[in-house]
Amino acid sequence: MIGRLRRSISGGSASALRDLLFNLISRDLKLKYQGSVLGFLWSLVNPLMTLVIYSWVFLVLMKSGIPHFPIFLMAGILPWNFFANATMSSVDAFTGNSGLIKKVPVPKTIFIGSVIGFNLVIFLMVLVIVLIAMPVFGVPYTFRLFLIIPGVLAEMALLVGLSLTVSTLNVLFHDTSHILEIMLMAWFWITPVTYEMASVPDKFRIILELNPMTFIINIFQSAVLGSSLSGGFYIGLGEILLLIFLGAWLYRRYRYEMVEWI
Amino acid sequence: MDIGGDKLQTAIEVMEVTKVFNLTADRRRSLKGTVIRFLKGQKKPPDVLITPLQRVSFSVRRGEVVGIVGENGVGKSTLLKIIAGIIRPSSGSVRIDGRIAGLLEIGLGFHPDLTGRENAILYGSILGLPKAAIRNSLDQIASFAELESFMDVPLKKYSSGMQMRLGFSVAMTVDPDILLLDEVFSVGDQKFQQKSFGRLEEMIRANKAVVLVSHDLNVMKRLCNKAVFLSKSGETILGDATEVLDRYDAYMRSPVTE
Repeated sequence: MIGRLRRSISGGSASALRDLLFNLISRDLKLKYQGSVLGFLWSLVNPLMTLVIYSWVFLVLMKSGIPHFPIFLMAGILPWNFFANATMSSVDAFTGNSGLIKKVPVPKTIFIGSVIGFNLVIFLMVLVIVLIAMPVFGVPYTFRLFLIIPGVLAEMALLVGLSLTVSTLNVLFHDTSHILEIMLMAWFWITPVTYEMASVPDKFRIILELNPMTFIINIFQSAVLGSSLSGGFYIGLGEILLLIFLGAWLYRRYRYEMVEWI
Repeated sequence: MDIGGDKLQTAIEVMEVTKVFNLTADRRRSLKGTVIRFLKGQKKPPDVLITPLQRVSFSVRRGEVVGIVGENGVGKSTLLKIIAGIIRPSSGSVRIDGRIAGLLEIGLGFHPDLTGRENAILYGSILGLPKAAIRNSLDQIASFAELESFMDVPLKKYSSGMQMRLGFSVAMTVDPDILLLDEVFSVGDQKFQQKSFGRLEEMIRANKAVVLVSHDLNVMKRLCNKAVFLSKSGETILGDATEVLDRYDAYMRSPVTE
């Protein structure tokens, strides 16, 4: 319907878009860390407190027998936080940037990219600290650590699909974020972050195996602790692909109309 | 007569563009409400349709400056957004040849907690300027905005005039083939207004295709060589700027006939 010989923002080359993405991410990082004495250290406080509290609950109160529990917990909770934080803030990727979306012809997906990128940077910074701390907890370095790379890639693929879906849904239904918040809470407990897959009774196993986060968290745990990879790999990848298709379809269906609604 | 060359090349072609807005189709409802409505078997509220743009056609060639005038609500800004590719027409089409930049609002994406410099860089990249181009013109931007000693101060310490000056100066570094402007002419005090108007004229004369919207007829007469008058009745009058603008002026001055 619309014939455009060359349609783009001024100088709207791929490199200009990459610069914009980079600038949006660095804006969010600056805003998060500026004006605080501790700066980046604040991002360590949350996982550190989680570590202390969960270790006390699971090691002391519940006498969980998971070896190297603190590192096991970190290997699961950091990718989980990355997933949950990125998903929650991506809900507002379109609605929260309506001022820009209504006035500048930028591809709207750039705001999803900046949410995922921003949370990825924080995740990787904290992850490096945990990797440095591994020997302190008596966990040796092995070549399995390279599994972190496919782990991060799989998680980002899942995030792309999920964030496209929820951000577009949030344009259609403004209570999406409330529903998502409840879902994420339940989702956390059906993901083996605080417990091992092996301790799950057989009849509940199917729930965990259908959860794509199970296999992703598993990759990280296996990378750090050398535990074996449990199954669910193909199911997880299949679900990720499905979600990307769903998100892309939803976004493409509403990308022009949403400008008039947000 | 000078025919040929780039001057005659069509940069924007608006063909039979119609835009219908459905005012009740506010899809931002709650999922809860939608489910309840569905369970109760309630029907959708009836559509309230408005058609700000009806079969609007015109073209802009390279080097032409086209002003769009009309009363509030006739769809001037909507038309600019359709040309910019931000929203889609309900029917009809727009053809664009060249890189396009729209200044539909000055200082988009400004954040009060970031410094003038950081905001300038971000705003520049929102307008599609490459990183190197922004960095190279930062000094120029600061001096044009007369904010050299304020570039490392957070924007929240700026007066609103200072913010507008910064936004305008960044916006003036864009270098597209096609420029869309929506009421961005009066910025800062009188002195700065004159300076910025001069810069704008310079930019417009640089053989660009320009479409601008303004209620200020003096500005329009000075800048435009063609004009489009979108009337409330849905008629599109286009032609020589002075002629069309005078007609619009007369229309606006005529007593209300309702």
